[in-house]
Amino acid sequence: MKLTRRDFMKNHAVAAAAAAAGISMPVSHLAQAASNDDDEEVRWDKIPCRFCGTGCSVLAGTRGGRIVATQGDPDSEVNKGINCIKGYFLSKIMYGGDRLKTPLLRKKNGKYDKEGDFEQVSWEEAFDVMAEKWKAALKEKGPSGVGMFGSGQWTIWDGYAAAKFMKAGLRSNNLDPNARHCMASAVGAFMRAFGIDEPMGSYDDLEHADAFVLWGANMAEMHPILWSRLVDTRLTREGSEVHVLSTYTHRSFELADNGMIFEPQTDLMIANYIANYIIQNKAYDKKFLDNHVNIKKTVTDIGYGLRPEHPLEKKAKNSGKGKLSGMTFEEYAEAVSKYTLEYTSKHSKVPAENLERLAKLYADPNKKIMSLWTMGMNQHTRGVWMNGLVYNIHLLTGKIAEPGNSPFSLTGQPSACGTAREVGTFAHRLPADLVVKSPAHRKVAEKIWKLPEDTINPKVGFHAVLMQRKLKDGAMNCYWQQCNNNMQAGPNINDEMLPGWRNPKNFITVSDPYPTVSAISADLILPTAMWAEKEGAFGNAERRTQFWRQQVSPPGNSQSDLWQIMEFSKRFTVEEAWGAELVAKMPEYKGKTLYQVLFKNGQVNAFPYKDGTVQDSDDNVYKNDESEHFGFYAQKGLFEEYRRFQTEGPKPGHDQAPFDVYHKVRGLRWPVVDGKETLWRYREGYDPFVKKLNPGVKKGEVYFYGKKDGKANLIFAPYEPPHESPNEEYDLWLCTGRVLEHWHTGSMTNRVPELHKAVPDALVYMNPNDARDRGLRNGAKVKIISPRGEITTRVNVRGRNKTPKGMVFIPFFDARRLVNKLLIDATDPLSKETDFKKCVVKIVQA
Amino acid sequence: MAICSLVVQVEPTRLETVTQSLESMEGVEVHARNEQGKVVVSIDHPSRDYCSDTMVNISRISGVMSSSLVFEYQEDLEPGQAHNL
Repeated sequence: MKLTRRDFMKNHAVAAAAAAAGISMPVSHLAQAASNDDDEEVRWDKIPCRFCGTGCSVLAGTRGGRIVATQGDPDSEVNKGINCIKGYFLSKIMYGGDRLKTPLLRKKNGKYDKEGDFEQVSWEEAFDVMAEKWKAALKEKGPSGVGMFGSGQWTIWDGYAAAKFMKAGLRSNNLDPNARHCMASAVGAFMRAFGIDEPMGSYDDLEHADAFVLWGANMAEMHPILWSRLVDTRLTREGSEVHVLSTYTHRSFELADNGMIFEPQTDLMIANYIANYIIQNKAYDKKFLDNHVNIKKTVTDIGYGLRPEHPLEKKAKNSGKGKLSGMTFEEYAEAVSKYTLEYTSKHSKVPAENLERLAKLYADPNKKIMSLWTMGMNQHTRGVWMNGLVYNIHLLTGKIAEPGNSPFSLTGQPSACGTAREVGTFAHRLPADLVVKSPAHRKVAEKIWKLPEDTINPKVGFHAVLMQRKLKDGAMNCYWQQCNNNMQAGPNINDEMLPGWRNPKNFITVSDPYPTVSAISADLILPTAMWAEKEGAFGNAERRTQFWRQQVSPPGNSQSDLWQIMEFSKRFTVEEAWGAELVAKMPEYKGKTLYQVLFKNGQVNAFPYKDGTVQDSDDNVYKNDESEHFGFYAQKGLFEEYRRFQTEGPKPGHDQAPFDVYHKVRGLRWPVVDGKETLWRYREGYDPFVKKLNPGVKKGEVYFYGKKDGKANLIFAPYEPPHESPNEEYDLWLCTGRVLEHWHTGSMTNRVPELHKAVPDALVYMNPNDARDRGLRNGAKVKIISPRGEITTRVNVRGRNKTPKGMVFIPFFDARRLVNKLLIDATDPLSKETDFKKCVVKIVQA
Repeated sequence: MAICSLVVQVEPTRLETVTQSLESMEGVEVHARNEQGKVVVSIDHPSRDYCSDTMVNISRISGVMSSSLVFEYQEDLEPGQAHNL
């Protein structure tokens, strides 16, 4: 029987769903689906999802140069054949009607003019003008005069090329990713506690844990696939329970056995209360503490990352300081003893029985616990402290680094880990956890990159928020933003961002596939190839590195971020970028361009490329636009050079597999040694580095090798008040975040008609009592006003997010209502990550 | 033409009523289910919009704990048909 395409697709769809659910279907059904596969001209290939940090693998079906079908990848260990609802629209994000296809420059009378209108220009003209501006800024201000703002959505090689171009090429550490806005606090806490970034466990903990505690994460909407794995365990494992902590009620509470709404900032008290409970009830693991943990405390009164002249910074005794000092166990016990059940319940407004139930869970030696968190904990003016306080609980009880016992920091972007963190595209970092301020680390980078001694600038660059302040102040004059929409996603847009972009001294370049709020605020817009339009690699939240091939071609004259960076580097000679003195140390570089020195250096261009180089196991041939253009396999050369940082640097345990391996597998979790991935780090038997670095270790023992003495830091930090709290005039808390249907600023999901239709407007979710007190009905048009600005939208008192009295929630996907205008640019003083979860507003009828 | 399939995780005690709700939706078929509350569902409809609305509506049925898309196929989507802001 010949099936119609429709029958075929439907059979395929049902068979795939049944397989993913683990439900057997009649054989004929499956056989038909398989037997007709050859009749279809659809080519299937794996590609990781473009959205969150989960790292689901998707099978993309391409026909006639377009992706026409997608399927959850049944061979993926992450998503096991399923996708979330955003996966339905994954391929549609490339086909928005307003895709940019050519560079656009502001011009008047045929010339660049900051006050001009956007006109189409060639890449040649675009880079001519941009290079002129960048060279002028370098000449006037030195390396600090230019900066680049990248992304946790960059591919690994986009980020690596950018780091090399900025740090080695222009000798500027003014490179930061938008991941600063989402993960920096997590990074800070990992480095302080363990000396190596990223979680010790893996998603496999979702099947090994008895209980789950969500600390500021709405996994049901933001990480639906991981949530479905968690739901499976909750429903099938005897005694399994789920605890959810948040400042408002969201969809994850539907599964909660113990749901807790706390007053913003009092999570600091709750975590310390749990530690206190564990100590009071002698439920700590003394042997584990003695052998594997150093107890420390952090300096306090550290300010809020505001401008130095802000009264709060002037008042803070230790503004921005993070120094640690030792303390005894008894001193620690004394420090947390203040956080009693009564005290914590009173201030957090969480009923005592709920708090005690949570504390008992952590204290129970027979319960394996996975703690999960995302932005609720990271976007917090005490984010590093708060991350650390959760590690404290796991360290106190020894519930760490083994199957099911797992403090797990989730990520929000597909390669926040793989690119921003592992490649180190931060203002203070170099690849593989190295930092610019360490002479030894700089030396390693200079050797691998074949640079003259002292090329790399030891001075930490401007972080995300500081870059905006420096643009406003005219201290940094050129800024290049790739792969994110910071003018919508950054804080305090009107006061601290837009003035810098429109400052006549400054030249702003934005690379994007769409005319986002950022793009239209810039001076030059560069049209960018999207993820499936280039060969790429992402690293997800469980240390899994995943590759994909270029599936389709980008539209018009769009070019990938990688192409743009490499091509732009041709515009600078080493003399212009480095100065004669540095070039004199390596005279063989005289007269060369940065492109020649950075990318045609005998390493990045070491792998030849010709038509047919990239093939899958079915002999399908894929394009690779960058490699064709530059004449060598650029992605491979960059990745292989990057890998050297993992093995030649002084920080062990970052090893990834060779490039070609990743095109054949569904990703591998680093460290990868002898082809084997690592599911749990720091424990002998799971992690090969434990024995290597501590030969006497016994099986099953822990060794935190990121720290010199093999011990993790338990770091006491107290409660400190938030940067601002509701007052007589501004009487409500505002929290921002995502909704299921949209991803971040909506620059992609808003182009999908169905998603746009499902949730077209950012509403203000409000408590019915707060609405009534203000005389507002559901659906009423209101003004939300903060000390920084105001926006207008409608009230929703019955939505999926149910806020307690005194708090409202507005998502940030809506370009027509820039909620971030309302936010204060207060950051964690240690991680420099903005607090997007609390500021003050008032609401009045519009 | 749009076809997709989903695995819907239902609270096991509410399997019957949720199945009924699902089957009452136009273009929706329930193909299989098990006692853990997993339900295999397809949506087949000429309209893309309808399929996506339905997916969202399924996730909002009381008793549905999660819904996961497995497969989607769409024909006839021309460039530029997608939303233009």
